[in-house]
Amino acid sequence: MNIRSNLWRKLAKSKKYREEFVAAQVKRGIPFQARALLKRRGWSQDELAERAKVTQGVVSRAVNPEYGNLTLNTIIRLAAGFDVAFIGKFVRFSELDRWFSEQSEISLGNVPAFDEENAMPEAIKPAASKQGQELVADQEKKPPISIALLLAKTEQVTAFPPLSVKGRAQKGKGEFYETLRSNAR
Amino acid sequence: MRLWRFMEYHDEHGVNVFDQWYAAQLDEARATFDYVLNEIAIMVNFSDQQLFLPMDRNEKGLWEVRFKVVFNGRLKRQFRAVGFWNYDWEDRREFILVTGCQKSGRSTIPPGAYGLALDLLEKFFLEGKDNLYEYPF
Repeated sequence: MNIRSNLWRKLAKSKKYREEFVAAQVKRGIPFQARALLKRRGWSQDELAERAKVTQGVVSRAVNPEYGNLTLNTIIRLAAGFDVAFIGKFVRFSELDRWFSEQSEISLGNVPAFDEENAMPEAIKPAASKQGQELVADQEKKPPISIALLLAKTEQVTAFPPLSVKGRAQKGKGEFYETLRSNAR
Repeated sequence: MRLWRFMEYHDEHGVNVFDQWYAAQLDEARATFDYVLNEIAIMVNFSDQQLFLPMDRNEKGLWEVRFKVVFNGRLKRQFRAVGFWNYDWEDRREFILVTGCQKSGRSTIPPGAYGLALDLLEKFFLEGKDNLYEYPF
């Protein structure tokens, strides 16, 4: 790796930072993905609890990134509830760095259950066949989705459109500040 | 892929106000903050979450990143990173980090963190002193 990322520079500065970053990733990453999966499938915590054969309280703690004491048994039950696989393994820091910069809520939530995957044509099951492997390789060669396209897609579901383009164009910086702060006075 | 950009505010003397706070923190807080910020940056929207919230009443106009940091495996402390949206930026997806603090009840460490953030908010919108650099993470 010739060009070091900003994260890499921080990781390289201190072992304590590395330890804490890994801890944050392990403790927060799984709850974040569990929430993304719930959102993507439109399930409630109760529904997942029923499928995973645990109580809703267990699910509630499992999707809370501040909880920090998720057990392997709970992770196994969640995987069973979602009917997906789970891979926990030790990796080099460069892999963490790459994963950190490439992850997205959409891709984390977009994990098909086994039956859904099993019903897919062979060609789009990654690594299921030579043809599948070629398709995955082709996908990797393609340029990433443009930010403009992604922004256009997320615009429709974003809960943060506080000021329309038209509204912003009509207001100067100062006027906007007055509007923003007027209710606070 | 990150959907939101996070910027650092540099004042008219070139001082990186947010970094002054960040640099003063222990590795536990820095690492947790960097991870949490990425979590926010990849969120599609901010509904149904407690990490990144708008403030009201006297702090209206500010937003804060809320995160807990565990020290020595057990001691939990509440932290906040504070800033505001850059409404000038075309896609309204740019957030400006201006300072941070540790919360202890109603008080903050350092004291007056929200007041400082409001001063910078006013400066940014009224005086146009806006030197922004992307937050490195």
